[in-house]
Amino acid sequence: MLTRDVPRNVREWMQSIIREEEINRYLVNGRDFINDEEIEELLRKYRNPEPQRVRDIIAKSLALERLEPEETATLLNVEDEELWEEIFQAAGEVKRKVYGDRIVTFAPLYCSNFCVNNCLYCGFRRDNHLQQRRRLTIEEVRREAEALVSMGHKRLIMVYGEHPLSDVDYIARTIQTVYETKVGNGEIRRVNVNAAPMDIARLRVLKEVGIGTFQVFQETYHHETYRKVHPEGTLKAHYRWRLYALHRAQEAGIDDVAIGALFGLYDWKFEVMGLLYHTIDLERHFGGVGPHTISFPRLEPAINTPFVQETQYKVSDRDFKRLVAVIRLSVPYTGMIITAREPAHIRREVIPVGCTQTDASTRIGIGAYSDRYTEQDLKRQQFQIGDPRSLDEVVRELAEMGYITSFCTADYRCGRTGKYFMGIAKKGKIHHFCMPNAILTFKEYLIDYASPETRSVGERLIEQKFAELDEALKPLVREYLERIERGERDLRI
Amino acid sequence: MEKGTSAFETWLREIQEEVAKRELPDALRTVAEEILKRYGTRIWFAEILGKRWSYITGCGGEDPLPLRQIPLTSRFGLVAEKWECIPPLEGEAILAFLREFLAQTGTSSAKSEG
Repeated sequence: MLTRDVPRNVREWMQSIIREEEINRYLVNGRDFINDEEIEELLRKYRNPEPQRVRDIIAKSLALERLEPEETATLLNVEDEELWEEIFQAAGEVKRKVYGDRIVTFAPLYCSNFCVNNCLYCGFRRDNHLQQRRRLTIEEVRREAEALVSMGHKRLIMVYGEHPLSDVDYIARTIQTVYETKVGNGEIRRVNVNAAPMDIARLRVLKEVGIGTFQVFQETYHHETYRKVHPEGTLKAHYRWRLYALHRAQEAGIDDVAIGALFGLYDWKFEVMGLLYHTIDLERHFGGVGPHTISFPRLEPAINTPFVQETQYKVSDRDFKRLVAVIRLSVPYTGMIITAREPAHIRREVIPVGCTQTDASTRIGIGAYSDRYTEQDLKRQQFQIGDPRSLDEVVRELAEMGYITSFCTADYRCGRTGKYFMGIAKKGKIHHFCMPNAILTFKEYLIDYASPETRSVGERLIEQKFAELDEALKPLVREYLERIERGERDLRI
Repeated sequence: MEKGTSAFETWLREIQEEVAKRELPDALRTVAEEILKRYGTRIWFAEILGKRWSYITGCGGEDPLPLRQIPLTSRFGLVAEKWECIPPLEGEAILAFLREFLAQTGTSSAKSEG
């Protein structure tokens, strides 16, 4: 691991972060890959699409081909309700083809809310004096991890504000601490990271501790809006430093990267196009490897943050479902994450149109899991969540909807990452691995953590999904299920 | 007739000579391809980063099968489908060669193909 001098003050630290040479090599004629005028023009040009044209595009998605920008623009311009129903059906079908009827579940772990940035929409912003600042100690991180393991979680996304107190060395130590934590049969097997953009040297530090996916959301792809909501003089004001954050991650050897946009800052159709262009540019530079996941959080209220109430670009529930379906059709191979920002009824409505991952038992206050408080405390949260239900409740509801909750982390622990993973996912074959491993990890959860009610629903679902497996796989999966019942853990294919 | 020890030794020596000419990811890919051709065993190589085994290169399949994960050095590992198709003595010799090769050349961080 790299060792660094602790910066003498925040300003000096900030000056050490951005390296223009790690951006400029990706620019084409001095421009980045988001051409605002081109996107606006495509969205104008493909208004009022012919139904047959829409159906042809749907057929391309069903063949698991990634869409081109003009095709996505066409889908975004559909007005006809019946055509939207066809899009929703197709989006669900694409998801089933690629990943099967499983939902990967994780929990967020917020480690620090100190931040040097001042983003207008964010509760953690520097000038928000109502936010109570806290950085977890390593011992507190351990207690948070123990609480999460005790619920049955196997996978976390760890979240950090951008600040020298939560620099890359702190991030690395907290991740190592989580990986070392064990409670009974339980442990966290995969830690994904949501942190600020870094240079390649710092990203190599993250690679060394074995992170899962590195996640950086662009927030908004619209240059002018980005400039308005990220005040000048802050690190986050640098649009291109953020835009190429995941290119640098790939260069550093982190081959699972995740993109996202914060919906509500600008026109949702533009943001979907931005996500697609981001996908295409990653594919172009890194041998076809696009984003491992795409996230699409909606802006939610935060303490002392009037911007959220004032924005004119709030996304309605109707449009939210539409944007999720269009992302699914546009990038068939990618994982898609819906979080507890959304209330339970929206998650029920939107998961079937293409989502592959969700969080549960979510607490986003710093130290919230081990403090065991149940009410949301906006003074230590980045925003207000919409669905605080327990993991057991979410697992049971998903099972009742016919989805196996997967705690699988097999791919990343057996070298099926990056190009290898992407190759299988693009051919629609990853579900051959996902479904058996989902069943096996679901079985572990039911035995070790589930309530009797959830276990009853879950066991029935396992038998149903087992029956749908390829015949050749059944003997091995049955053997593994029996071994899990006898006490073995972490069996995987 | 089954492959004899001498034929195996010739095969392994040829691979060693070929691998010596190549940079790390290419060299490992060559080994994976030759093993697939000779035994029908699919292998791929990964960089070991804590719990993460990060793909480098190889001939991984698209069908779910039991896997064998074999650490080669503290930094690199091999994942195999149907490793049992390789006779034990030959498998040991292949692993010994890979361990020696990686100890000499693979001490730094590897970049995956792509």
